Amino acid sequence: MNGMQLDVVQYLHDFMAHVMPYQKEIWHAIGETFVMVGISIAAALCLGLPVGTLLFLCRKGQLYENRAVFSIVNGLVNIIRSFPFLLLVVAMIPITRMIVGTSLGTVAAAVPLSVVAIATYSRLVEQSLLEVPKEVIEAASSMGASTLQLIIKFLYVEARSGLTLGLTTSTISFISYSTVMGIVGGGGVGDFAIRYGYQRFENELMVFTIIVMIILVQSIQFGGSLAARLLDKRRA
Amino acid sequence: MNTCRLICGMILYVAQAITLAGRKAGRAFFMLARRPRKGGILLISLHNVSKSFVTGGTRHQAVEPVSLHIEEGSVHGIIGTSGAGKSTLLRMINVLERPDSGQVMVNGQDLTLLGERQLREARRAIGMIFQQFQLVSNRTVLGNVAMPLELARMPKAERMKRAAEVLKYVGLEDKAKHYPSQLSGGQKQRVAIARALANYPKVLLCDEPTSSLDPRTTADILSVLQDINLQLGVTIVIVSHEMDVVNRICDHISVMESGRLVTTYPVVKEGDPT
Repeated sequence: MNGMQLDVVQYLHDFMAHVMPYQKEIWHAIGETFVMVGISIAAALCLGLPVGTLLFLCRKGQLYENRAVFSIVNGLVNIIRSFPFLLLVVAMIPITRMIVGTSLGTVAAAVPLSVVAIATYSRLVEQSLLEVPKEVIEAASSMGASTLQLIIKFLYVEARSGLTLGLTTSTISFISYSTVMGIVGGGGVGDFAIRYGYQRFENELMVFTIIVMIILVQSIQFGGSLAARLLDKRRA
Repeated sequence: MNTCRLICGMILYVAQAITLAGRKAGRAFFMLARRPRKGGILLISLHNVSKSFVTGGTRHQAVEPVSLHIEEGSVHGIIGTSGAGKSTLLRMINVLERPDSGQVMVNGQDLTLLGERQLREARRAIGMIFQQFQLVSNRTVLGNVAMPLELARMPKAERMKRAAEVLKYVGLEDKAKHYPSQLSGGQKQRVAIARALANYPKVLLCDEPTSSLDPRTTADILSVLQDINLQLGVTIVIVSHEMDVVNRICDHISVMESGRLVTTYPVVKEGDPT
């Protein structure tokens, strides 16, 4: 028993001895991941939320039913979401270059990521808003709410826990998407794990990165679920 | 003989005339005594409004062309079985359902002719409560009551004061910080009533307000509505499928049947000297 414990301690010691020299690089990679994911979360909130709301409002049977707008936006969202992500990154290079002036680096990598973020989150927003009882919309109109007031003071308030959970789910998938950004020099933890861990046969580095990612994802999910629960007053 | 008959006839004729005139005068007197506040001004006037819905490719006439006139200060009941079109008729009063044809006059304005912005303004003077209360469940009771004032952009301090005031009126000031899910059905409907009253409406539209409540709570809510009518002078239109409910508080009742308004009659209240 004692011997086994010693073995574990010895193993951990060796493990950390492999990892420690790369501390600086690891932190740098984590920072890059945060930049890419942060920009895409911002894009999801600033553009995905309105696009999702538009999808909801233009749907059949909803307040601003509009088949043309719905079909176009819906189709666009589907197309973006059906692209294999790596191909989207490559296909978007000219557009990325137009927007940020270069197709390489962390900020450039955030562009295709943001596009996917908008598409993903808008779909989740649409789904959350569909769960709001139609009666709430009726009550809002009876009180003389304008469209903007209806959206902000009724729809978003009633759907806020769903919107939070959606953003949590999206954030986690953005992290996952961001790991392939090495292809355009975006860096990030995924890129680090591949270049240092996989390609240089330093399994310890790869395992360490995966553990970091697991902790990251777990805490985001925990925080998101907690916030959604606290925001939800629909049941006693 | 002849003179005798003539005199008798004359006496009878005069007597009849006196009784008739007396009855007329008496009726007029009682009418006045019963509703002294009512000036007979038409607050709501629907002219030949109709509405049809298309479901699954077939057109269904929910409301045939209907005319309805409601005086200021009255409590008007609309009764009928489910599917008779009474809720649709009620929803046309604040153009929540836009009528296919006809005119909706409320407070001297034809609501069907108003633009979006003006219609919103007009709706703010028309309170509405529903069968399922339709409160915002992620907002506190006070937040719900303050909502119409917030929509009308009343300054915060002022609207909180007003919301607390109406909440007190319905007897729920101690529940201000609660969320709707923590309240009973009757309490939720009181909150909904407070919300509808917050912005000083002239009209309160009630769509089956007691249909999901038990008999005792129903009586409670009806007495609140009656107080609102008597104390605040708010005109009330109430849709229900329960005769008992409309009989209890309405002064006029309209009966609807398969989209048609069959009849409208005044209610003779118990205890009224008629």
